[in-house]
Amino acid sequence: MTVVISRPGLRLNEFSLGATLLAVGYAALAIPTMVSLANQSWSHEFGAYGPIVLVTGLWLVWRQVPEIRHAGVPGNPWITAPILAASLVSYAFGRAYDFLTLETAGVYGAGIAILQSKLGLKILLKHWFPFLYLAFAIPPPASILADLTAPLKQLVSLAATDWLQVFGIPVARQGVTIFVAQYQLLVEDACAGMNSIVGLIAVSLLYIYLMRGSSLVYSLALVVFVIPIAIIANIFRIMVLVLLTYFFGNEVAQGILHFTAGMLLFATALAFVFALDRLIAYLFTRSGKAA
Amino acid sequence: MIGRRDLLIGTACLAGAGAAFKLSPHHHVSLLRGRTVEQTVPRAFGEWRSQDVSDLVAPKVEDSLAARLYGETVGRVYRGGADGAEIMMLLAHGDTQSDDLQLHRPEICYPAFGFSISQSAVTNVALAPSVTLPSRSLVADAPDRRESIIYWSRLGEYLPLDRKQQQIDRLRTAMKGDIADGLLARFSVLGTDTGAAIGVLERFIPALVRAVPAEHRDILIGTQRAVALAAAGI
Repeated sequence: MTVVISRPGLRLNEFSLGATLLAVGYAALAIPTMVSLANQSWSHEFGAYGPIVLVTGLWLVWRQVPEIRHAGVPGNPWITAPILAASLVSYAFGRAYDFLTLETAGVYGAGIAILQSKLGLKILLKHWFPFLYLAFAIPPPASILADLTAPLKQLVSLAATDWLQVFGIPVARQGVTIFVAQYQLLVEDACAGMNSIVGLIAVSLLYIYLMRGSSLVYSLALVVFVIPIAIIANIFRIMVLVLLTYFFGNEVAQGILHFTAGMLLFATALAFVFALDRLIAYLFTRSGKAA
Repeated sequence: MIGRRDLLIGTACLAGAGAAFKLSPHHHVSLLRGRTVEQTVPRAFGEWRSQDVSDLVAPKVEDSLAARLYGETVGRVYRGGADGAEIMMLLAHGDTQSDDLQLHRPEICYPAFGFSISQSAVTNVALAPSVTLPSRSLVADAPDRRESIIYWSRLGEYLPLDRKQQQIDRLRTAMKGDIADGLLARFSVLGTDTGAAIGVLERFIPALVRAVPAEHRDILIGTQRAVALAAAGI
């Protein structure tokens, strides 16, 4: 402070020059990545949750700006430097050689490094949730996603046909092909919706955070439940598609209802998550009263 | 102090963005050299005659993956031989191989269309006594259909045999500063007798490659093997 008073002009210039260059530098990293994300990830069904996470994540951060700013103190440069260096290497490699995950992780890491430099690690750790949540905007590697979802696809089509058979619907299955009456349905990658697990986890975490605050244990417990919930919601979705095909024909099912079934999946899964959250909260308060 | 620190971080970020641009491959390399796959591969040769078909990649779907992935696809059914064999050929060419847009390997695509892959093995198709083509043979089963497949993929000058190798080859090409083209060549025969089907394919593929003019064979099999074939006087 005393320095600022004694040489206000110079300090101000240096400050604004630094801030400008910082903003320009970060924009030079982030804007091309945004374009790549929009083209390669957000525009596909498996990455459609990306912008939602980004916007809600930034909103969460923005909500806490007053408090963070008030309590923030410039961070230790020996923490900033390695985070920034690792992030920039990941960024340059990922962007040059087309690994969107590494590139986006680099932009994310550089952002964390800048915040660390300006506000310090302590305040960031105290408000960890919005920053962790923003990490969901990093698209997971497509190949890993494909490996993980292949067995789930089998499971989902198996369970869906088994349950429908119980209700007397003439349905049969071979691999990921489902036969109902004279129709043949394919549980395709995009259509299996298993890719939406990441998006579902993110949105569930957001809900829990807004409802219950940033409890690490609670968030983790919910994530553990989200995966089976997503699988059940998918089975439900396939059953709906098969039933639509059976009762209204292929045209209807593959048309607008296919899209609606996608929305339905997300809505169903979220409803499950909300219900589960209510149930746990209810059990907790009851056991609290009993004790 | 803070201002100077911002200055340093901002400069580092700009350097990172610059490094990314500098490292990015900018040099497009396509073995097609302005030709099309369609005109390169003869419609008829030796005992074989062909007919164009359009839906070999996948059932036609609007805005389909196939349309985004491949600049040019050629689908033909060749008929011929003493036994009147039918061979389905698909050649799919993509100008720019990136992580988002790259060749999709049949062992991944077929299951997505309801086939199950019951066999997948690396095989070397003999183009000439001294020249072999690293390929993969597959047997794909659907409820009322069995397809025996031999395919190979070319990424720039590489002929990767599986997805991991394809990724590595793509990275190696990019690190040289090149953006390579990619070609998927898939040949399949219907029928339950897998051994016979593979036998037909192993006869057909060398005949097809040899029927392409020597100077354009690299489009299918890469420069190294095209040169080796020419050197062997074929």
